[in-house]
Amino acid sequence: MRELYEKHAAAVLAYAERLTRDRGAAEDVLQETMLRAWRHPDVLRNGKGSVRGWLMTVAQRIVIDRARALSARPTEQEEDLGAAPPQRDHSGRVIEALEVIDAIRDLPEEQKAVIMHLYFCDSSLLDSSSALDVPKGTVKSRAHYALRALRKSISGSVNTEGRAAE
Amino acid sequence: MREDGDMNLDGMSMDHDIEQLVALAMGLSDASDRSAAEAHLAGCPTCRQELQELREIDAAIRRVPPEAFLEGPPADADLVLQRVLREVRAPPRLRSGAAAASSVWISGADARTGAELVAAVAEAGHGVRLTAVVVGVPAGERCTLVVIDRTGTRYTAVRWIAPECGAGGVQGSAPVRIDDVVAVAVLAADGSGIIS
Ligand SMILES: [Zn+2]
Repeated sequence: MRELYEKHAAAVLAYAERLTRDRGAAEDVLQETMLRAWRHPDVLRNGKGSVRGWLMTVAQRIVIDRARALSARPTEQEEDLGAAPPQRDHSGRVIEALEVIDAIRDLPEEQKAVIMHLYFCDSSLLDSSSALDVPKGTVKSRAHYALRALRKSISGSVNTEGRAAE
Repeated sequence: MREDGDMNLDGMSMDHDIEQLVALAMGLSDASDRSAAEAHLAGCPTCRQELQELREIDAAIRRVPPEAFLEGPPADADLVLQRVLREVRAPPRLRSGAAAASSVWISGADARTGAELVAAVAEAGHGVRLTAVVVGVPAGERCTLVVIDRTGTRYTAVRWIAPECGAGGVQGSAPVRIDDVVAVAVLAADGSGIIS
């Protein structure tokens, strides 16, 4: 548990905080996420599986489910809203997106650096090229290898972990 | 890095310019690169196929929340961990809800769009303050969160543009007394309901 926490808690907490906009609530979500992980040791034992993706998906579900459970005073309209069928399809799509996380984390360092710069630091091609100290063409070809590798690992690991999150 | 390859691009032949394709898929090319690439694409089904696949994975990466790449424990580390460990050892108990007496939770999902909304509506001054989590909205969609009162009047609480991952928290307020709030909805730019 401690190891899991030390590895992933910052990411789960930051994500929960963005969703809830409330540090205290986010800590509750983190706590609940960790408890669910503890109750689903199979997820963690699946070796390289999508632990980070699983945890973030669970955190997102908790934010939603918790707010639903707290749905007080069902007036007519609120009841209408709450009565909509659960969106299994949608949560499936989120999980698929989160699968990408582990694939990116597993990329060779050079390719990962390119992906992080271009996608998650809002760097331009030129910025990335000077930050990484390689020509722009190299940035592009590393990006290409990275995209191909990601595509391969994602299509190869249609997740079994995600389902445990339900 | 060549794979079983539906395409052999590694030779960087004059014909297929993979760097251009990647730049195009990721939105990195400038106007002149783009028109050169498009001219080639028009006559090359192989590159069109490759571009399509690169765009799919590009879109998948853009759906990933950036927080996913934070490493390690939170800065003020151990508190939550201690709570988790305590709970793991103790029998389950009921936690008190976060909703104060003067606030109400509304949640809903829309079968058509697949979007979900959870909103806390709290009394604030003469009106209400909303904290909402909206999930599953197409990236880039201009959204409006509206509060609807008993008379059917809509009040805009907040506008935002949906982030790439489609999930986000927003806050806003509306000049409606909490007892008069009958519904909360998310509208798209064209006024159609994303969740209503
Ligand atoms: Zn071609």
